[in-house]
Amino acid sequence: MSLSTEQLLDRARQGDVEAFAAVFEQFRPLLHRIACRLVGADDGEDVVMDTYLKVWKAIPRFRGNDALRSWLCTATRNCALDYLRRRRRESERVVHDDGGADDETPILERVADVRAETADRRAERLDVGGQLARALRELSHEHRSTLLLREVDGLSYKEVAAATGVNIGTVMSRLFYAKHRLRKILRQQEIAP
Amino acid sequence: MITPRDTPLRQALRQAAALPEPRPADTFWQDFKARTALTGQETPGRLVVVGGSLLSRHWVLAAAAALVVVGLAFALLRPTAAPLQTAQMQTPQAPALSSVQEVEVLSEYSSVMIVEDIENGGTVIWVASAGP
Repeated sequence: MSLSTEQLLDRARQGDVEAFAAVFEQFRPLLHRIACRLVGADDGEDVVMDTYLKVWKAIPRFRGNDALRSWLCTATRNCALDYLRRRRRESERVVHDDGGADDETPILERVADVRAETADRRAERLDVGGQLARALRELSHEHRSTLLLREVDGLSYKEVAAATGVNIGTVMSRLFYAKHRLRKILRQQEIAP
Repeated sequence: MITPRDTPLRQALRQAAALPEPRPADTFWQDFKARTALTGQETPGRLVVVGGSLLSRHWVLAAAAALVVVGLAFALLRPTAAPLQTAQMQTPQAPALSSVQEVEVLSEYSSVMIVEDIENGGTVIWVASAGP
């Protein structure tokens, strides 16, 4: 007889790792996509692992599982931000003459852009999408991650909002402007009509 | 071949910003188990609502502000009984036993003074004449 999610969560609260995995495996592809969009494809797995370790540690205090999916999106975002902060501190220790960073720029944008190029450059190597990948890089990090999470990764507005730390109205606004800007760039490149 | 020009934006984006597949589940959870063996779980204490927004700082502050506003409004607008009673005592509605409708004095150079004694229900009419 299979256990319900609530029963599995109860077992996870008592330290049952198998039960924890049984509940949370279904969310792993979603968290992986969010993490990759926020910190870059190479480090997405690490962020997902950090997220699950934090959830595991705190699971005895959690109540209710109705909003689990959205809550996990928020948790992934928080772990991604922690990861980016750590990475930035490490890169500052290594590179002392990095004078290009603007302190008023959000940390997510400052750090993620560098690593986010990995996926984009990979796309550029392909015949298809090279110009689109370049156009994507011209978008701000907020617009790009919102656009990709929604249009490519298929997250709901609510999940995108949780993953990017803004409300649903802002998600919709960012989507609109991201598409508008993307079309404008592509038109300049004579890709889009 | 799919090209950005010929396909909808979504399909083109999917190709341009493709992500690697996540690790296989068994290796991921094996790694996870190894790591959880090094870290314990928190003991159940403070209640955390999944979704978190109900206990967030903003909600607590907004609820406190709303309580203060409601409290002030209640204190200012509620009916006060004591002052009304005092006002009623100051203006007793005792029925008048007599009343003066009109006073006519035929004597010239006279003056009339009317004193109504509401408390005892009487009226005194004082007429003074300065004439011959």
